[in-house]
Order: sequence, then structure tokens, then C-alpha cells
Amino acid sequence: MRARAAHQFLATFLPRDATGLHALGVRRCLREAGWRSEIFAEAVHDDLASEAHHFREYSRLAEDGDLLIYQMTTATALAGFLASRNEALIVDYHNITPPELYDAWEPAVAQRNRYALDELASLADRSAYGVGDSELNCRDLRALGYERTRVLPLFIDMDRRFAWPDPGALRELEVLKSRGGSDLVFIGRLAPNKAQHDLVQALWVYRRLYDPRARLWLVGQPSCSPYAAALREMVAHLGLASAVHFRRGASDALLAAYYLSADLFVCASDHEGFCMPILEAMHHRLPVVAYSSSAVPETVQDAGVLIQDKSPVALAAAFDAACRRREQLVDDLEPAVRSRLAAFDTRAVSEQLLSLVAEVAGRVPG
Amino acid sequence: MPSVDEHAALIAEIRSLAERTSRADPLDVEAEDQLSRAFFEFTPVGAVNTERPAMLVEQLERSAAISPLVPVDSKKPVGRIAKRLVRKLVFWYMSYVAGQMLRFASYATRLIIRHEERLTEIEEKLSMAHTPVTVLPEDLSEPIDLSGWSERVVGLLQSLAGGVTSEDGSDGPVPATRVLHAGCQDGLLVKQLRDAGVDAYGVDPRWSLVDAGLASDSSLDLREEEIFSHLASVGASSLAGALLTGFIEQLERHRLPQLLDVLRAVVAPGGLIVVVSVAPEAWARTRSTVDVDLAPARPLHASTWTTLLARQGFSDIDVSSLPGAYCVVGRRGP
Repeated sequence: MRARAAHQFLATFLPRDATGLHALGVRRCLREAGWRSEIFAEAVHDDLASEAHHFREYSRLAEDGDLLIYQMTTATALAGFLASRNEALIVDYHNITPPELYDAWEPAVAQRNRYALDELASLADRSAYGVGDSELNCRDLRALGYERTRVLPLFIDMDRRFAWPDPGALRELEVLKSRGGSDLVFIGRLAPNKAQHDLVQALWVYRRLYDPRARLWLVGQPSCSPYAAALREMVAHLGLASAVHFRRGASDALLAAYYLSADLFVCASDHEGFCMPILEAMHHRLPVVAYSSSAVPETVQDAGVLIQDKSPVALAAAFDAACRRREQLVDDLEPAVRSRLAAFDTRAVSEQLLSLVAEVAGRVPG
Repeated sequence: MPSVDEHAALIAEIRSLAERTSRADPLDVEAEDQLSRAFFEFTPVGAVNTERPAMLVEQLERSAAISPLVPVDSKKPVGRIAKRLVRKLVFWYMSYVAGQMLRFASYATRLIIRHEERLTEIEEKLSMAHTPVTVLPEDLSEPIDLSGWSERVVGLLQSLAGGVTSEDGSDGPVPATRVLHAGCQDGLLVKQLRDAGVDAYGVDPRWSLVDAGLASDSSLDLREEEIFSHLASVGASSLAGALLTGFIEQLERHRLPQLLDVLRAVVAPGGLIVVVSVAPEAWARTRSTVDVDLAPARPLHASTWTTLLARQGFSDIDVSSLPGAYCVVGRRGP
């Protein structure tokens, strides 16, 4: 008998992108469990051309009893396409930034996010399950009418991704480190919801009150040009041009170098649907000090320091306390960090995925 | 290997230090001003919330200064020369257009500034009109006397001893058992609730009161924490009930919707909210509700609490009189 199929759909299939890596992990898991599984996307990066099909091709390949998994990240033609199909559907929601956070900066992006939320809501009745990588995402799904929701952790293979830190970058970072001062790092797109401006202000206070030679590394692509420009202007205005280092999107090897060289991973985001870099920092045993908002508390849990007060002074004081007691923090947090990372163990996530798929498949005749 | 307690204590210590430093406000006024302006100056209107309209007006005045002198900087020497040439050629045109725009911007700016001044004037007059109508302790950080009515409040919350069941959990019903006393002082009510079988704990930002409570009974779960910060960290539908005392007397009006939103989120369906205000003058006297509620730093009228709780989906709302206080109870709807 021919094996049943569970296929995935995503808007853009990119290498090194969290959703893309998750989709590859889901496919690997399904195939190992005997399912047929392909990835269909609206746009596919050249490096992954052999790994995916254009989503319109699915109509030709569809078979009775197929399960479809939609990795939902943004507004796209996929939502309409999937709404018009009859196959059982699981929506795996990776969060959409609340539009109001973009209204003043990029109204067009805010509007696109509103469309995306409308599309997500339009699939509620059609979906057998709504899945989120955090409880926050599941709450959003329930608010949009999804009756059955479940948290499914992301497939993260950090051992493989970060096996080889970039030696050149490590050397360069070590040279800077030898001049003294703490290194704080945040990895994430330059975007209003990531609130890098709060980190810059906290650094200004931190240098003024505690560590005049401290540096802040902001690693990530600018995804909102007006915000990135305002951020750079503020950095210059505060006289921090030599202390705040902007680095555009980096390879896994470069990211590993930043994680290994930094003293703290800091996060002041106003909205995160999950925040993968927090787990990446934990993987590198880099202590995390984060503002407690959106999904950040459930991502950090008890394996990092969550700060309720976002004022620059409070953040700076927390940075100082964490840097001063860094060694103790690393040692004391080790069991919690290990247990946090274990939740993302590929085997554990595979079991959860297969149980979900089996449950949905059980309701659909094959 | 460090124990769970050690690691939790270290995290709590760092958090507490951050909050204490923030309250101590170690920056001088000039530095604070520089910092608060730093990002605002480069952002589009509405991107950053500010309670200082003067900063917005400054931003408006700066952006109304339209110059026909287009910058000619260029990385290439030829580019600079070419740009200067183009600027010179079209200057008569640019200056004509810029002149009209500048005139419009000046009128619009002046009009907005006049309106802003007029609004400030009206606000000041209104604020003077609302003289305080109730009597509160001189120092609002002083503890309030709970002894006259604590037993009645315990009686109200005793029904939560078995917890309430939330339907919000994705994996089926999750019972919520904890009852928060926000503004717990030295934990008198927390102790009485615990003795009555309720899984109670308390939060209060006044460390001296919390320390005194813990010194007399270290088994109490009392936390020195700012109440809003604490509520922000509580999980959705994870409380069976919340008792609010003390801090609500001095709650800033703009924080009230935030408080109600967060209470609706953290109290499980079927759970209770109990608000006790120690200023019965606020509702017993003949002055209008509006007068009472708008008076700065005064407690809310009981009927206002009733309306606000009902709007947030609380039902079975009941107002009762206690010795020297009034009490509003509401049940969180589904």
C-alpha cells in the first residue's frame, strides 16, 4: 500500500531562516516515520531549488487522504489556495507582529500584517488543528477562532548549525575584548518590535554608571528602513558610534562567534512570537537578560533573568549585576538551561509532531 | 550542582536590584532629558509614546523649517560638482516652491501651537476646579488598617479554597488555585486566607512591610515587588482570585484600564476580584461620582468600579460596606 502524505506549504523557503529550517526538520521527521512529504512554497531560494516545489504544482500531485501543513508567517496567496482545497489542514502559526507596532514606521507593513491576520482567521474553520511554537501563538489562534490548538516546538538542530564558529570573527572579537569592557549582544532584525533603541539607551546608561568601555552588538538585517535609520541617528547623537556595532544578517558560523565572545545576551523586545536567539544563546551557555514581554517569559522560563521594568536604568543595573556575577550565573543556570534545551530535542519534538499528525490523520480516511 | 532555590535566589536578586536602582533614579535631570529626547527626535510622529507634548511641538517646528538648499555631499568628487550645478540651475524654482510650503507650514505650526497652549490652559483650569473631596492618610505609603474587616474579606474569598477551573488551557481544563493579595503589607490577610485553606500569596513594593511580615512568619509567600510588574509576569487565567487593597487609593487614572485588562487576563473564568477601598467618603457622601473620580489621586467611587468591572466581563458584581471601607466583588465571566 502506498504511504500517506503530509505536505508542507510556506510563503518563502529560505536557507538559515527559522521557518525554513523547521520545515526541513518536519519533512525529515515525517519521512523517517514512513510518510511521504514534500515542501511547497510561493518563493524558493536558489540554494533550495531542489528541495521544494512551487505551490501551484500541488494541484497536479494531490491525492485523496493527504494532510497539509501550512507554515504561516505572512500574508500570501497560499492562504486563499489552501482555503479552496479539501484536504485536512494543520496551520502552524509562527506569529505576526502586531500591526500597531508598525503603523507609524511603515504603514504598508502594518497593513500587510493586518491582511495576514485576516487570512489566518479565514483558515480557522477550515483547519483541523492550529499549532504554535509558543503558548502565546496558540492564544492568538484561539482568539481568531481556532478550536483545537497545541504547542509544537520548533525543530532546531543547533549542534549542527553552530559546530564551526568563524575563526576570523573570533580573533577580531577577542582583540576588541582585550581592550576591556563587557560585550552585550542581541540577534534579531532591526525592527520596531525588537526595540533595539531601548538596548542602545540602556547601554548609554550602563557605560555612564558602570562600565564606560562596554559594547553592544546588534546583529540582524534591517527589516524596517525608517527604524534602522532612526536607530543609527540616535546612536550617533548619543556619542555611541564606536560602542554600538551593527552587523547585518550573519552566517551560523559568525553567529556562533558572537555568541561565544559576548558576556551577555540582552533582549528588550516589545513583541516576540518565540525568540529563537534566546535558545541559541542558551546553547552557547551565554547568560540571558531579557525584558519580560509577549512570548519571551515562556521561551526563557527559569533559565535566564527576566526584567519587568524596561527603563534604561533598570536594564543597565541588570546588565551590570549579571556581568559581575556572570560565572555564578552560568553555573547556577546550567541545570535550567539544559532542561530548557532538552525540550527542543529533535526526538521529543518528532514524537509530538507524529502524534499530532496521527491524530489528524485518524479523523481523515486515507 | 546548585540547587533550584540558589538559582532562583540569584535571579530574584538581580531583578530586585534592577527595580531598586530604577526607583532610586540615579541619573541627573539633564542626562534623563538627553536620553528621553535621544530616540524621539528621529522618529515619525506617533512611533514613540510621549507624555511631553512640548517635545512634539519642537519636532513640528523643526520639520516646518523647509530649506531649498538641497545637500550636495557625495562620495565622488564629480558627484558633488554635478549636484552643486543642478542645485544652482533649479534654485529659482526650488526657492519658489519651498517659499510657499514654508508659509503654509508656518501657519499650520502656529495654529497647532496656539491650540496646544489653549488646551494646556483649559487642563490647568480643570485640574484646579477638581479640589480633593475625600480625606486620605497624609502619607499614602503608610499601611492601612485591615483588622476591622479582614475576616469579612476572608469569608468572601474562602469559596476559592478548592480553586476554579479554567477552560483556557490547550490541553484541557487547568485548575487555578492561587489567590493574590496585591498590596499585602505585612501579610495579615495572606495568613488569614492561608489558615482558611486558601492558596494565598501577597505582593507589595514596600520592602519594610514585607520584611516585617516575613520576620514574623517566614512560611508566608510574600514578595517585595511592584504590583504592575508582578501582574505582567503572571500567566493567563492562572489565578483563582485577586484581592486589591491600598495601592488602588493612589492609582493614577491612566493606569486603571491597564490594571483592569491585566486582571481580566490573569484571573481564571469563575474567579473573583475583590476591591477594598478604605475611603468610604468617596462613595458615601453626596458629591457626584464624576467629582470624586476626577479629583487627582483620589479613590474611585464604588459605582465606577462596578461599571468598569462589568465592562471587562465581570459579573455578579456586589458592593458592600465594611467598617471604615467599602468592598466591590466581581466574578470573571467565561
